[in-house]
Amino acid sequence: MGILWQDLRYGARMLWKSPGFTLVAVAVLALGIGANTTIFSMINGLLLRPLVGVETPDRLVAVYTSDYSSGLYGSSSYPDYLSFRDGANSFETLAAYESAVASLTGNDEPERLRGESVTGNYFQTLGVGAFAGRTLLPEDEATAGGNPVVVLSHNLWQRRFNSDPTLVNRTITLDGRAHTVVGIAAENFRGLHLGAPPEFWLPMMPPPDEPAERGSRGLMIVGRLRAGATAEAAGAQLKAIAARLAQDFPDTNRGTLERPDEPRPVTVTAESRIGPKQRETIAGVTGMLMLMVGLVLLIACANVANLLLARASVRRREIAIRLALGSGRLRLVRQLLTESMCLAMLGGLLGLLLTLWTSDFLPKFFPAEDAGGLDLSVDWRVLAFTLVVSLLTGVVFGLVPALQASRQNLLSALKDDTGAPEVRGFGRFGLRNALVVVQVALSLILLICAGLFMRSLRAASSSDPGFNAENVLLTRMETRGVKMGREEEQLFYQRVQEQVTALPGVRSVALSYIVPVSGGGMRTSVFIEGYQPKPNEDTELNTNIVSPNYFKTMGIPFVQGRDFGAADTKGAPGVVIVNEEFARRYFGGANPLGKRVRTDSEGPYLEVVGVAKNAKYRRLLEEPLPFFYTPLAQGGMSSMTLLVRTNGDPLDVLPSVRAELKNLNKNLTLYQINTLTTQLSEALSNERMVAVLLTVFGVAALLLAAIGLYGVMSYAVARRTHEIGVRMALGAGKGDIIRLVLWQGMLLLFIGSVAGLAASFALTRLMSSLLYGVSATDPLTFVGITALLSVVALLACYVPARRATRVDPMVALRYE
Amino acid sequence: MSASKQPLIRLQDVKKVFFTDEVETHALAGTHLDIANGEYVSITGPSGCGKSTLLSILGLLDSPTEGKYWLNGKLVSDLSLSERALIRNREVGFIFQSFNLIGDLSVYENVELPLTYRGLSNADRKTRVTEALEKVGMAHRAKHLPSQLSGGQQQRVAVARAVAGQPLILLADEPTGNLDSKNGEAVMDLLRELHRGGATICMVTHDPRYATFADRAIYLFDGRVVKEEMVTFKQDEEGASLVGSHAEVV
Ligand SMILES: Nc1ncnc2c1ncn2[C@@H]1O[C@H](COP(=O)(O)OP(=O)(O)OP(=O)(O)O)[C@@H](O)[C@H]1O
Ligand SMILES: [Mg+2]
Repeated sequence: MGILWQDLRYGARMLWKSPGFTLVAVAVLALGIGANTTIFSMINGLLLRPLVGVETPDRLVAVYTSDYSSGLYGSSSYPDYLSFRDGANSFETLAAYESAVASLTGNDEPERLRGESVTGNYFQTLGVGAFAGRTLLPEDEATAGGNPVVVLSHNLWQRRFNSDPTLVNRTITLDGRAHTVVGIAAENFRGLHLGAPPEFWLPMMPPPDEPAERGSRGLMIVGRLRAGATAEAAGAQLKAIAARLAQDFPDTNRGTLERPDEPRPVTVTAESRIGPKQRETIAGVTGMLMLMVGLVLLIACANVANLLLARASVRRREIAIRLALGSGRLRLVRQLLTESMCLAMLGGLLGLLLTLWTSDFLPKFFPAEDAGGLDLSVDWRVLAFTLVVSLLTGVVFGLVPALQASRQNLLSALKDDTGAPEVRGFGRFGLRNALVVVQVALSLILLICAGLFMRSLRAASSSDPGFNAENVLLTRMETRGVKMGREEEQLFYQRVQEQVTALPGVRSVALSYIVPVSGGGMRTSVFIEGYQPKPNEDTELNTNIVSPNYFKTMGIPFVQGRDFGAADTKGAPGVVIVNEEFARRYFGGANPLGKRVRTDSEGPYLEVVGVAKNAKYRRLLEEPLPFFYTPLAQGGMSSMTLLVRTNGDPLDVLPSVRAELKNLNKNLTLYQINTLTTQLSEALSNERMVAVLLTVFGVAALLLAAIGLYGVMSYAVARRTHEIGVRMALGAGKGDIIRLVLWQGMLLLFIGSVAGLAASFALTRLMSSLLYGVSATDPLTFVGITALLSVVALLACYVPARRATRVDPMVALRYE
Repeated sequence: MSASKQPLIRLQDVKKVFFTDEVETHALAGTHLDIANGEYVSITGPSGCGKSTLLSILGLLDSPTEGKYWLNGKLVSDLSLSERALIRNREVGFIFQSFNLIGDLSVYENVELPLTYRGLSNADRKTRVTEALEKVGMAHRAKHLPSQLSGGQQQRVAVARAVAGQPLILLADEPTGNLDSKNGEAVMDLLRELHRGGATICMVTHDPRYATFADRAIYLFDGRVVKEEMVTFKQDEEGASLVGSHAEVV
């Protein structure tokens, strides 16, 4: 311990004595370690952090079931939930919940709230208490029809009710009905999932006890494991129940797309803020980012190792004297390693500061609705990670120079510094050059990846969505707060369309249930007359409910047939418009017009009256989907999105649109106000974040490699000063000297580039699934990035080369 | 020394001042010097008197602070860096005390080096290098690295490098300083042979014995030529007698 302390003190003194070296080394390390800590804090925030605000989160599990085609992680029906709850004893409690929206009306501006409808044991299951009043109880389920109660979030209570201490037991108006506020939930509970936190919780009204209810799967299930029970055991129990259900209710509980004869699967996983399917995607992307920052750190290590080697040659005498005085080699290596560790720790500390800063702005890449509650702040996991990475870094960059330094020839070092009488040239291909080659190769890999993702982003954002996104205003209208019957609602929508169309600056107006490229959508089973589905075929198709003029407003051209019109009303024959992909897939070459489809195996047929061009519906990067549209007038929803195509900036007409809608009904709630172009760009926020991060890392790598190259070349020039002096005495001109130095640098660049290109070819293939519209071996990127690197490297070598030409042969020769 | 014929080198009132840490060092304080074509001149003087400075001005490694320098009738004291490099390359051959061969390059490549800066063809370079190496008796070591040679051999290679370009003048700064007397004499013999073959040589030396190898000995003191003497009798082949007669000029 005493020796360690002594080493530490000596190490600190040595670093203090050469502040330039220390500063550069620490900065380089901070960059490398900071990049790693940043990405790790992202992984931590997205995947590792436990749920907040709940009791013993490690005992909470999520239960997923599946419908015919939704895969392993689908939502569940109420009857299935009851069967699980009552049939399995692995759980202390098992609760169900679904997201809900409600319009809050009253004294202020009406507001659309997001909340949850939950079973009465929801709060008990999570172990969430009340800040004031009480949380929901099982007996509240019964009163939901008559005297409804609600629990509000702490945030809503503060924001909307000014933290009114008398709110509990008073009533508020949700969706036009009075609800008694029985309590305010604990302040730190923000819901189970990432995204906008729920602002209220309503007790779930049990649905009517009908067999069909088993097929209506919209609930999420969360359970608290009994002490001693495991997720696996719970899963096995539920599986047995699912097998029984498959027998008892084959219509709704048997067969999936992949396994038509087996029970619908049931899956139990640890409850987390992000669903299992998304976790896989996130793990893939963050894993790739982690690999990239690992490369940045390696470059930083190579860089600092080179600095240490240069320092070791300066400290030759000091080290030789230590060895001569009888210091053991091991002892010396330890001393030098302690110095490296000091550097690494300082770098880690600074890197942590960098992460504190990035954790503040990284969440801003995501739309607030997806990333609400994303906490990237530094916790003990991030701290531990930083510590381990710093220690490893210290060993990686410190060990080789330390070993090398301790192995030097004692005699020649002690004799003098001049060495042999001959002029020393560039010498053999030493460790320092190898380190620079590594840096060049690694930074090339990083830059190529960044280039590919940038090009992919470019391709994605310039890809044709199939509609014209310019000059379209979007605003969602919620009619829950307005007491309207179905017919009134239809009339209301018609009037909205008429009145808004009449506003100045408005070209056309439409209503749509689904907002394009919002990441979600609506699917329903489709039965096509005269089409026999293959045994495992997925017949659930994506659909939308739209008003007349939707296609005109969106700028989606018709291939055939007509738009929905005023005549397509509730009483009139049912009609649909399909897209080209739908027509191609189900009607082949036949004329689609007049063909018939239905969405209910017993319901009436709907006639195809038009074929629209393909567009992007759920995500911007999806393959063409078969899609169909039904008219709003033949079946609407209580919330629709108003699309307004304008002449100029769509936000300019927003005030008049808002005023007009309020004028039509003052209890109407407006939300999700956006322009279609922003909506499109938000659809790429993940891609953008990855591309931006990779570019930042790539540029950092490029800078580090350039610094490394510059350092080695400067060192080489300094070492060759005498030789350069001799060459100048022999008549070498400026050009000759510049060529001499550049040639050496270019050789390093060339070897590094070849290695980097080869590694990139191998590596980028692995990420081709993350790329869009650009090949993983895109020649333009490979060539362009190599050219960029070469130019920067050339510059990094040119500066020392210029310095070489300023060598005064007189001075150089005097030190012969 | 007759002025009727144009001298190969003419220095007129050349001064060289070094400024370091606000200290002025007058390394040369008004030096006049003429060297005729084919002459062999030695420069001697105490340490720090400006010998090397004089030689580097003659070799256009440095330019005088004041004064004029004509080389082969051309005024060269005010040339730019690149023009000086060109003249250095074509008209001057340097021989240094510590040989200054480049360690990474073979004997052949070292001799070839000044020729490559001239843009000579490969074949031209080859004949010249071979010729020069033969002249100094090192042709058989062409492929060796300098570190594989003795000091005397290295200096002979350095002489070959200096003469390969057939310069107007050979400048040698204590060429024997790093050699034992046997090797030193061999190098001096080599220089004398080159002189007999018509080379103009200007050599700095500490050793009075070697000074007498020259036609003319110049004594520098505090940056001035204080004495010039013609060496009338040269050391005979056996090196037995050493007689000189003086003709003071300054
Ligand atoms: N680049 C320089 N900067 C400053 N002073 C210099 C420089 N070169 C030479 N001098 C000074 O000029 C004077 C002459 O130096 P020079 O090297 O010509 O002496 P020298 O006669 O060759 O001596 P020696 O016999 O020791 O080689 C000395 O005082 C020296 O310190
Ligand atoms: Mg000298």
